[in-house]
Amino acid sequence: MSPEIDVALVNVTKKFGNLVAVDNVSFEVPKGSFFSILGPSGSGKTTLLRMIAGFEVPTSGDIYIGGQRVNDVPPNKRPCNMVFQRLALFPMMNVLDNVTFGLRRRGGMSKAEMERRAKDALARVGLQGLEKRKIHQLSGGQQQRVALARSLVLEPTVLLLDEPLGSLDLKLRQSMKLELKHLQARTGTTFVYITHDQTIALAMSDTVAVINRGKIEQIAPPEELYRRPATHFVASFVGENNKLTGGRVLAVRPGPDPQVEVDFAGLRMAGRAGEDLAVGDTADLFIRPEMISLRPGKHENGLLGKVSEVNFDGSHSLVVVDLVEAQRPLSLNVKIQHTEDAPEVQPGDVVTLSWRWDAANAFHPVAQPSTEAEV
Amino acid sequence: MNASSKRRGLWLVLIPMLLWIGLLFVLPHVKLFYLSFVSRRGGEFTLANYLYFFKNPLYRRIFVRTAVFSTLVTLLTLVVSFPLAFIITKVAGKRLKAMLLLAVILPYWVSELIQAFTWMVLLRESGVFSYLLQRLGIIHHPVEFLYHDYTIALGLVYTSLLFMTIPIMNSLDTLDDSLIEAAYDLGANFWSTLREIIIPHAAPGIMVGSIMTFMLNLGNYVTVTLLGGKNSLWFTEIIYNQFIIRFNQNKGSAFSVILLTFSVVFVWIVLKVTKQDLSEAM
Amino acid sequence: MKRQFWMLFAFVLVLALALAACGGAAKTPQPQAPSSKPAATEAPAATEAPAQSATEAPAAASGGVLRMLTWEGYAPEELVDKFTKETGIKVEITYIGDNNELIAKMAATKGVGFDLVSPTLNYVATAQEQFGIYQPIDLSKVNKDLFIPAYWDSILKNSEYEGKPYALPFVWGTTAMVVNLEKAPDAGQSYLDLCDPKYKGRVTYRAKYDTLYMFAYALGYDPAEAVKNEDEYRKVMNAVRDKMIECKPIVRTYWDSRQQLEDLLKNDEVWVATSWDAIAWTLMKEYPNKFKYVVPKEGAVGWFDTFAISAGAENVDAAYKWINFVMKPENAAVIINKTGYQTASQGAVELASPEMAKIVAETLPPEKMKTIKWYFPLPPYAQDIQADVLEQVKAAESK
Repeated sequence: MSPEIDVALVNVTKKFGNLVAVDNVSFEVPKGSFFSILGPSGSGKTTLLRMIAGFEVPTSGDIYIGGQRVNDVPPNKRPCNMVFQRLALFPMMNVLDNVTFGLRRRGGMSKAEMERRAKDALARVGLQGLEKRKIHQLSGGQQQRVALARSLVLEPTVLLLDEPLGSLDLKLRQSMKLELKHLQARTGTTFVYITHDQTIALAMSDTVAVINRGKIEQIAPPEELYRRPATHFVASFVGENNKLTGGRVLAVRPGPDPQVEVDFAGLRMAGRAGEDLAVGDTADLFIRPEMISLRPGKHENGLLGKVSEVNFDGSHSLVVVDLVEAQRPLSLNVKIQHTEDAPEVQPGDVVTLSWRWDAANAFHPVAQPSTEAEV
Repeated sequence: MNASSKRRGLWLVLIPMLLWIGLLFVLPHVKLFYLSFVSRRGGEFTLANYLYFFKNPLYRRIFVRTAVFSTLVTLLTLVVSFPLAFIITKVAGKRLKAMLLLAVILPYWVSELIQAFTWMVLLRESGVFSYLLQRLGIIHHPVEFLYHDYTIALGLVYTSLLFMTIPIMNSLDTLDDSLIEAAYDLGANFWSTLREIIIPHAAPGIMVGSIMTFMLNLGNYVTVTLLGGKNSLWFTEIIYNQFIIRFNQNKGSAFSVILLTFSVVFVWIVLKVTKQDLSEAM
Repeated sequence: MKRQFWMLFAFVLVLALALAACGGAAKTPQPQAPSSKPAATEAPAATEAPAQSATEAPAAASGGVLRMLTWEGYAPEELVDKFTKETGIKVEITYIGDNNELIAKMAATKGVGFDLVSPTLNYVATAQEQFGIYQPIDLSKVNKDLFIPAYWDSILKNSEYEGKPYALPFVWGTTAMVVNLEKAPDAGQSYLDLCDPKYKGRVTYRAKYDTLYMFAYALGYDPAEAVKNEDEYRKVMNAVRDKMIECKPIVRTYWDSRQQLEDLLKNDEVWVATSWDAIAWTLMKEYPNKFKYVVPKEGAVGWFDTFAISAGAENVDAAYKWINFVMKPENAAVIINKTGYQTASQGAVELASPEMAKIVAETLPPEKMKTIKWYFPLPPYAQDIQADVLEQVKAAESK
């Protein structure tokens, strides 16, 4: 095991009776990185985290923390701490006692030293002066910080976070998101963060592992995940997408990044082959709305369309374009940034759409598209 | 008009309860209190009934024995009930939970008298317990388990188990499991989690259960007399003797008031010491 | 979950209270049920309820209801059914375990709620003097021929208060000792055998008055004489107390009920015990070679239970009908056979089973009959002295 790897899972499987919650998962989390596990609810991500924390025992496979196999180490002896989804602050204690709880358990430290460290941790999360408050006297965001301080004060090798921002309102979530990222950068602690919210995962993480039905779909930095999804599921789950289904592959141009042309209702569309595709295969195509360029009027090299809706949304507008040359009704969403030279369109305008071939990703259709993925 | 009819409705609902409390609780206590302060013959005001108790070393000793024993049994009941309540609320699966709950409630389908007789069948020298232990080779001749202090304790724990277990279950029910996990995660072991997280959370339930158990023990008569044998004199029997054997309602009332006052004061002190609020606890 | 538990809990509690209240009101209008709460010792509301229903009762049913306060075995179901069939009178029975309990129950309501009671003879006149709970016997309503004449005369005379008789003879019995012939064949010579270290842990007796008298006689006192003087009686009883405390390591437990004594004896847990004759006799019938009723040299303690009519009786006629019914020899014989109790019914013994008659004749022959020490009337101070002594004995520490 490389010493630079803080958490490693090797072929970890967890079964509850007949249900396979986690299916042969392996990954490594480098030291000091912010690692997210992203998946819809029921995908097994919570089980995965609880196995790292020690609350569940893997059915098979090994878990390493800081280079040590921890399968048989109970949770109170593991060099990792967890921030719980519902925070699990101790309501019978004040803020300071919550934060010193772990230090007191560890012992070997004077009371003054414990308090100094606790105050230090509280200062780091911006909660100076609230030491004597009761938990129920704090706001949601403050409670969030206490939960963080309570774990961070123990200087764990790994901090596990079980979607702790989920219960906050949108504004608070946005600011806590950044704060968490800064905190992680400052402390250098390895974070393993699980969430079903892709905006959080993409914004904060160094690496994101997408998990679906107990299996890892892709492990990659956020940008790669966004631009070059490895599977049909990742493409549909991460980010907004135009999803065209049931096309036929017309041509494949092999290379390091194979390029394909797919026929949808008589229209030829270019894209990147996300997986092995052959001429004649059925394929789905995902195109990011912001990657489509829209030119007013009729042009060569592009798909002719007619604007049916314009939805103004502040910094951008979402334009719905019906592809007029298609043999069956087909439309694409296009996101236009409101820059100085942005085209102005109105419903009924004729426009031409085009995109770089590698802005679209083609996959074999999946037998049963995951319903959660379309949320 | 609507409000007044609503109010009338409320009173109508309350009447049975007020009658119940008034006739069966307040009125007898007022009478008891009055009787304890008047002389047996003549009926003039006197403190003699109380002085009689305080001057009598035998009664004082029995009173202290009853109080100390009740306290110890309450603690013992807590020790038995707490793990039981914890298992029922936090550990057991659906079926085990139902079984344990039934096991706690079932004894109350028969009277205390029958419970005591059942214990006698089990614990007597020629009883089931003695027989089984002999068969297992643990003891080599019949042993009498009845008529000891520990037999009284056993019987009392049994009769008050439900009243301790249910309130604790009730308070443990509201304990978020993740608090226990969080404590473990932060390095706590079983005992420190119990001491710092679970018990403080369950404190109101423990309080309610202990109060009820203590009162039940203090006022017990049947179990103590039947299982205790020759050394079982309990303060309630002294009260019984005053009313029934000596036909002395006034001393009996005084003794009852003493017992009642003691239990109220004791509970109040315990609440103060443990910084619990009864209304909060309930 | 939380609410369910509390609702269940509240339900159980209310149910328990309701049952307790119903039971208390319907059957035992008394202030002293040994309930878990001392507060329940005073419940005027509960004691008044049956009084009201009692006033309505006679008008309701043709034969009415007869309310009896008596001892277990004194009104066997067989006889009650027969009585109801013959007269149409329904019978409600409340059982007592103690004469003081009977008096306390009666005194609480001046007898209202009961028609016929069965106090022990020595509790009739004194209780009448203190509490006025009975009414004089109307001799014109009783069939004198049903009674053994000697008992009739004696009981009428001994229950007199202000010149009127207050009781009729019903059942009599003795208290002496029962021994296990296999384990302690020599026991039973004296009541002091109850203190013999040979029988350590194999002895039982009651922590009640009869035991006090036994020890008093065994120590050479005559409590029936001593009771006439308070100081003298206290001296005697204190001596008894000291002896009983000294003997406490010997006794296994104090027995309280017939069932308890029988269990102790049958399981060989106890070899030497004080016992009512009836208990011993029924045991002898069952185990002829194992148990024996023994009257020690101090003599058996004798008691006579009577019929007395409550001062608050609502159905006096039914009470007399019952007396005349139950004293018929064929009916009294049922009591003898069932429980072993001897009755004052003329001719009942002859109708009872010969087996029982033989046992009685063997264990209580005429010469032993002569040594019977009858219960004596207790002045109020004697009640207190005896209660003091018993409390001190029970409170004494012993292994």
